[in-house]
Amino acid sequence: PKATQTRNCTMTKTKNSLSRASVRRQFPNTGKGEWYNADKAPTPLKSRKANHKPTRLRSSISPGTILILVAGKYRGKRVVFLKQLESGLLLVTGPYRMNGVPLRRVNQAFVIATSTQVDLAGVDTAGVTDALFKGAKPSTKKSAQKDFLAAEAAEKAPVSDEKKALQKKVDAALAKKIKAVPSLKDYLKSAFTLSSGQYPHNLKF
Amino acid sequence: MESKAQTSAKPTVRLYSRGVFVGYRRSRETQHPNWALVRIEGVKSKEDVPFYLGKKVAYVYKCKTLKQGKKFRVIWGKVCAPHGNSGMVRCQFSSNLPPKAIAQQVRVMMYPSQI
Repeated sequence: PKATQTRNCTMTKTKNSLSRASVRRQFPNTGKGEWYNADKAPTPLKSRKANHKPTRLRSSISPGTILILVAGKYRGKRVVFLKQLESGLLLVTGPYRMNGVPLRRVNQAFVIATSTQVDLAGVDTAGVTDALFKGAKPSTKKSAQKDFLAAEAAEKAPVSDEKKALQKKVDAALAKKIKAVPSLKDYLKSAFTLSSGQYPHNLKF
Repeated sequence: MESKAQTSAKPTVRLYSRGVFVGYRRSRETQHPNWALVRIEGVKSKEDVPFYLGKKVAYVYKCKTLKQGKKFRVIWGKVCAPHGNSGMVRCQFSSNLPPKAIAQQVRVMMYPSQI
């Protein structure tokens, strides 16, 4: 049986139609076949892996909003939202001196936005990016014991000077803004907790 | 904070709603253990339930043997759907709750948060 036949179409070339030259692939037994486009090499489907849309920021959250952390190490703390990082995570700070929360990334899902806002004019957070929060890379050596020791060492690594400097810079500017609002400092110092008779679906944050 | 020793003991912070595991989804003679029914404190009607949909639920229990250095264990689940008109809620857990958990407390967390 013939392996391939070719034909030339006289159809006008539109985006999806066959081009001038098309090749027929024939199935030997049934004689049935299909015409496919000879010119175009099959194009792979467009990969969606690289096409990341930015994480949508909840409408209740805007720079300066005070958030309540609802999970994690600092759960219950009231914290100031600074900006959304490229990774989609929220950049947040205590400030550190007020409630012990450092510059930290937080996922929107683990945060309740309150209606309280702080004015962030003059607070410069441009120096804080996702790269600042990347941990030490694990060693690629195969030795299991070495990896374990390296992991331990990485856990105990002290806070980098770069982070401390940025923390001080951001917090200094922020603290001024907070002190301008009456009771806000005490608000940030206190923790959020549900008490008897308080049900989250009834609470207005 | 600089002087941790000087600050007072951390006050306990409750960031979950209390709930009770009331039983499995069931008809008169047949029960389906993969669905748990939970009565959340303060939720008295179907209209109050949407806040809790999707929230994580934890059944916390104590054991004698230490696992990972702890005597507490958790079975995680989530609130999946309302159940009936009076604020009951259907939950699914990573592994079905054991029958001894019936009438025991369950914690309905405040995350994933939508507010």
